[in-house]
Amino acid sequence: MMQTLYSQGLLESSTSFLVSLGIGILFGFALERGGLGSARRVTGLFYFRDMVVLKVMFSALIVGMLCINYAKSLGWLNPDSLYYLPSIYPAQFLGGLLFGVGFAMGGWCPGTAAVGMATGRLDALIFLFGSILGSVTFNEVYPWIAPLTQNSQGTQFAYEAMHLSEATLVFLFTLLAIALFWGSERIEAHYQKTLFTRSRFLKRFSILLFCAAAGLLIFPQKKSVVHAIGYEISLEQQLAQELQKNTDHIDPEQVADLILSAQPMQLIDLRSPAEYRAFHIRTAINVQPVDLRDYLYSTPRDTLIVLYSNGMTHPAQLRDSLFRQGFSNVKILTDGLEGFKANCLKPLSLRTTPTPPEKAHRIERCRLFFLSNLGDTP
Amino acid sequence: MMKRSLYMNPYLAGTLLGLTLVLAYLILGAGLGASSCMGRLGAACSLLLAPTHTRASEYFGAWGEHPLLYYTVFMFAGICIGGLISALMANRLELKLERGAAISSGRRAIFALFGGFIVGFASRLANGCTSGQALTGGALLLSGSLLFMVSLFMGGFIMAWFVRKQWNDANTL
Repeated sequence: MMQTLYSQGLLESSTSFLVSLGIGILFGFALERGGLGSARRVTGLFYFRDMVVLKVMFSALIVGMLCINYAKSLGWLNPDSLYYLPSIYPAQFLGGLLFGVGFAMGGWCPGTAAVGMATGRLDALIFLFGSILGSVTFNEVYPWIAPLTQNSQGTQFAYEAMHLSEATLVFLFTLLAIALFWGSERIEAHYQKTLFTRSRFLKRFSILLFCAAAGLLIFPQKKSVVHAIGYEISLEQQLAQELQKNTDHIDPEQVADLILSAQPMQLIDLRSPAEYRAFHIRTAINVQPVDLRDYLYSTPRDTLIVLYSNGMTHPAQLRDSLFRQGFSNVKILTDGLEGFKANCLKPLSLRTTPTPPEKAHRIERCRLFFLSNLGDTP
Repeated sequence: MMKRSLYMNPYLAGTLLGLTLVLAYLILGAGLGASSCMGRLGAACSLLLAPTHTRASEYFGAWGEHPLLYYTVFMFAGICIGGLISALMANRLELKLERGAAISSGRRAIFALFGGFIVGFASRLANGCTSGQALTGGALLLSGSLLFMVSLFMGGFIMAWFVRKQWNDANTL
């Protein structure tokens, strides 16, 4: 199972920058080769003259879809290691509509314009300059349109909404693409008298895509299950190991130190909103157990996440669940919030055992930081 | 002058593009993107011209002090290089403002500028463009990306009718 740079939290590393550059080169090469370095050809689609965009776009879409699904079935790609764009319907609908308007008007989209600019098209350069201005304007008006871009539902998949399996929808999509390819050739035949006869190629290409999509339908998903079981066993073993080594816990003092030194960490309070309002560890965020998955959706999988509640049972169960979802650095607060209060916040005067001066100093710092403006004293 | 070579079969070019997308998913885990770089460039310009205002703004502010240190910016640079390599190989490099004969260069430039402006705004709103939303999200069959694709074609076909003069070569015939 391959680990993606995203799942390792390395999307903003120099390795990722280098890989992105290489992928960009392939991307730009494919666009120019296909003929998308010309605004006239790109917009030909809207006038049913030159269908090259549709052909390139849908070939890429279907090939991508099929390969990703095979990679998932064969266990080469862990679906949890991918970044999924959140579903924000108002923004995606309005954005798409506006995008289409600008696309037809300017003759480019950002990717094709990059190719156009690099190959000497002045209109592409002007277009890209315009889109920088458009981005700046977006930032300026963002406070007013932010409600459109708020995400409440995470990512939704079309096949789930349609109650189909992913393979079935991929198959239907492939059929649609093949129909579009043949339709496009028909349409172009009207305009271009000197069309290369691609019929033999297209026939083979269509059959190949059809077989690959049908294969995915018949392809027993068992193989992925075998992998999944192997994966699960090693995961359970890791869980048990962490349990034995006590690395699934974090001491209250450690958490206090991390907060006081402003180390990056997600501290999550799993109690009810009322309890949270009454008192919580400063910097903690209140998330209900059912919302936890959504809340952590775009969090890199290696972020330190500390869960706490009053006791330890719920955080422990949720910790294991997050661990299975690929979060590798989730910990529960030893003895929960009560433990934190007793260890870090209990006044010296109420302690029965003598406190060494260093520890006393730390408790004072903690009391100062964690009890300010929060009303309740433990 | 050397003869220009023909374009590649679009289905094969599409296949190459699809395989590039798969590679991006396997290694990066995050697919392709082009419009995000325009946003990042916008943020960088904004930071240069009005640093305090930009840092305080909700959208660009979240991108920090170095908005250009981001993987999509490097990908965009790659797209330019890849396009250049391909055009050089096919002898297609040419400095020109592409337009139909029925429209002046000035009008075409204004269309390109306004079109670019709208696309820049729209791709921030939709959080992606033809590559980042339609292709990347579409290949995973995300509902939102498919919705984006459908509304993109709607907007495109409607607007295309109004600006049809842009690519009209009737005057030359």
